[in-house]
Amino acid sequence: MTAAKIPSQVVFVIDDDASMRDAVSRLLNAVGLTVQTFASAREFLAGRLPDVPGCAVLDVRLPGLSGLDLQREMVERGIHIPVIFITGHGDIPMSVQAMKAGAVEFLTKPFRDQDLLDAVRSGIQLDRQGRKERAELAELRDGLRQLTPREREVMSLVVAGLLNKQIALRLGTSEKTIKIHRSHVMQKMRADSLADLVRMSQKLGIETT
Amino acid sequence: MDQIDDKSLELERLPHSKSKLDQKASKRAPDELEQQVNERTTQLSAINTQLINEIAERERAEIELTLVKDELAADLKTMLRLHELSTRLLKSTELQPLLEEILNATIELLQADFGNVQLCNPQSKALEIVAQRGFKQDFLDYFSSVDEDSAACGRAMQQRRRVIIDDVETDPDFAPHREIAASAGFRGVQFTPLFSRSAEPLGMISTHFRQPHHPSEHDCRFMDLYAHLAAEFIERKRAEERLRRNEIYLAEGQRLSHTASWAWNVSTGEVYWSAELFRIYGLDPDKQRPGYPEILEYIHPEDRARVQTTFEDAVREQKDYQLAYRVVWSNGTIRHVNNLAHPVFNERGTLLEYVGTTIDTTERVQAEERVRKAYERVDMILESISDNFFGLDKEGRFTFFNKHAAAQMRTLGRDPDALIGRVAWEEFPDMPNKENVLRVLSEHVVIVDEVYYAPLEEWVENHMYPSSDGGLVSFQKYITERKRTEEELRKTQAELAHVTRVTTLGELTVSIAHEVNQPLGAIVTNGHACLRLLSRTNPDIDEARRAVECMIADGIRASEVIKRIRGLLKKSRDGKSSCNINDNIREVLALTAGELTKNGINVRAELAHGLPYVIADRVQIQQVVLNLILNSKEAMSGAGWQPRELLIRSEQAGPEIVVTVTDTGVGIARENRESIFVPFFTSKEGGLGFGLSISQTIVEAHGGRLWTKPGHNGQGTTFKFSLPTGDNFR
Repeated sequence: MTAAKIPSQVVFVIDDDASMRDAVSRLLNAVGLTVQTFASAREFLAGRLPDVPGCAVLDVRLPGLSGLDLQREMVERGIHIPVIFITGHGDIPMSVQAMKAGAVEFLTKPFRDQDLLDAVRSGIQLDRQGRKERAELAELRDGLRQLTPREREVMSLVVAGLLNKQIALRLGTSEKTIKIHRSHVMQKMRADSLADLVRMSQKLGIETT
Repeated sequence: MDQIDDKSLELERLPHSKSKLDQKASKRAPDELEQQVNERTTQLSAINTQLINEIAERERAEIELTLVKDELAADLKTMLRLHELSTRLLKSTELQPLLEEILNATIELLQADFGNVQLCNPQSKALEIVAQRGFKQDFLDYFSSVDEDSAACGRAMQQRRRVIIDDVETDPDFAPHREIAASAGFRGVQFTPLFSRSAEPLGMISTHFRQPHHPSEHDCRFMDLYAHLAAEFIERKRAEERLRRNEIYLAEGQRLSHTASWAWNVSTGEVYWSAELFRIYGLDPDKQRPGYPEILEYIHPEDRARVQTTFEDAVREQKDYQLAYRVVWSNGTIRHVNNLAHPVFNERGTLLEYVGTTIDTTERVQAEERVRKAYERVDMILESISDNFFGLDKEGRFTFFNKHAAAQMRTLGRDPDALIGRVAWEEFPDMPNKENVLRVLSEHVVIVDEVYYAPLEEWVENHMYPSSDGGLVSFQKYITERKRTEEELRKTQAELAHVTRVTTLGELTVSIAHEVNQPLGAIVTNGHACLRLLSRTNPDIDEARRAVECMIADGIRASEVIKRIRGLLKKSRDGKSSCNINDNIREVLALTAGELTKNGINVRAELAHGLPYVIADRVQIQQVVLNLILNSKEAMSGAGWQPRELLIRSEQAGPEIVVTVTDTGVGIARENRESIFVPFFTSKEGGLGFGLSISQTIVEAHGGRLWTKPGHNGQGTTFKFSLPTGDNFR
């Protein structure tokens, strides 16, 4: 990896064992992946990470902050990089904990190369997906923020499946006024259809009343 | 006298004849008369002359007579003095006053002004002034002791004759002493040496004169008489002194040796008893002096008849005899005596007397009795002890076997009686502890050893003590049974140590598996990478080579971990060898690094450089270190426990190497401090409770010590163990 060229994707390898770190790095390089290595969790957290899709390959047992601790810390800091755990001694409770916390994969050393590569690929895919979803959600929230309080009211009743007439009655106004609000809502939320708006409201977690 | 009387008669006659002439002249003529007168005058004149001559002669004779008379009187006085002195000599006991008297007599005889008497010191042979008259202290000091060859008196002694110096001012021989002579105020001197009858030099009488003087022959003769008298007296005094001393010595000797002497005159029955004999018989010399057969009264009734028979037979046969018997004192005290006597005959062969010695042997008899009893007791003890007991003299020759030792010799096909006086290692060339035996004999140290003696098929323990005569005594026990038990115990302990080790390692399994798995994981991954690098359309050979190099390095790494574990898992075969304590500590640290990291423990090792080697069983010592490290880890792994520091240190402390393991853990509860070394005591869940007890056994088996103390400020724990350095290992 060079600083000049921003890669399209990157794999972060965090392992205190230098030879393991090098081996994993070599394997990923061999299939054309860009790799960034760290000897400890702190080093990783302190590093400048490129804003491209990627995933992290973490040794569960790290000196200082352990792999599981790092995973938790990443969540707390809003770092959405998918995590693949590798461990020298996979014990079930630990892997369950890791998977619950959202790990992509939990691999026990020594592992098949394909397993790691598959996990890395799906991790990157997941990240890419996640990034896309997070971008969409940001757009929706942006639209939502532009709505007036009345328009929000109207929107929540619309997605709850009420007809304009019923909404007008509920809000004590005319059906025509509701129609205008509704079209503003559709416009601001950039919704193509009612179904589209319903999906959006679900994503935003708007409660139907 | 007669002559004097004759002369006086003649003189008396003279006046008578003259008167006759006068009567005749009156009757004759004047011429005739004148002629007659002339004739008569001539006659008378002649007679007168004759008379005058006679008178002169007579006066001369009278003077001579007086001189002779004086001389005779002086001689008589001298003789009387001599007689008196010799009489006194017979009575006198004191040497000093008599010598002074002789000196005075001599001074008077020679009409000298001073004088002194010197005695010859029998030891130094020097002359020492013992009596003097008229000298001042400086003279006495000057001549206090004179060697035979110095001074004129020395010369007189040496030449064995009188030396007379008429005038010290002119005599060349006296030149060295003129000053002191001048100071003392004498010019003339004579030295008369004194000799014993056997010509031994005794001393010297010297007399000194203020004016130059030469004593006359006559004086010298008398001088010789005095000298002779003095010599006799000195000699007699010396002889008396010797006799007196000998008597004292004899009496003292008799008293000390409890040996008395006696004599018994056969014909008269007269007895002589020495003082010691009275003591031996408990009698008062002033009251009782029993002869024979009264003496029998004092002899023990049981011995009396035998004494009587032996004595009377000996006397009848005129033979020597010897008797041992008991004397009974009036107060019942019994003395043991030994009596030796022999007959004394005169030149005609007639038996005169018996002389004998009587020795009081009571103390000896009693001592012998005590010794005999002591021997009996010792023999009894030696015979009753179940050990083999034997003695060697300083040359290593057998001196004694008790019955067990004798039985052992017989078991070995040897006759114990024939071995007495034979050198042990020559008789038993296969003796396994000859070196120790020689050390006891040469260095006089106590040595206890354990050896296997093949001919007996037994282990024996020898306690060898140097004995006062330079030899040794040895107690020997058969310890084969004990050895077997010990061996079993040792095996059991080794087994237990092994089990504990395996258990301890079991606790480490996860960490150790990780240690091995880490390089294995890397190897596999590198292998995969390598395959991919090679199977690309454009194979990256360089990177593939690097991958393989890494694989090799990791392979070695994995095998080292396994080797380490195997080392700890294998059964120790009590193979002590010299080893470096720091290497062992590092091995264990390598093995536990993973476990300690997992528990978030910081390890600090302060291992001293240049430590001497120790004689140790590596596996066992590593087990101790491992145990202490894991205990520390345990003490610090409570949830949220901080800080987590482990310090391991090695250092030399005198003849020992001390290893310290300090942690910052929970510490040991006060009430548990005593019990942590007790087997089955454990504060750990799932712990066997053997760790520290085994560790302690191991360390002590290496001649060291394992102990604990609370850490700083009561936090944490410090364990220490010591091992003797190789030079101090026993």
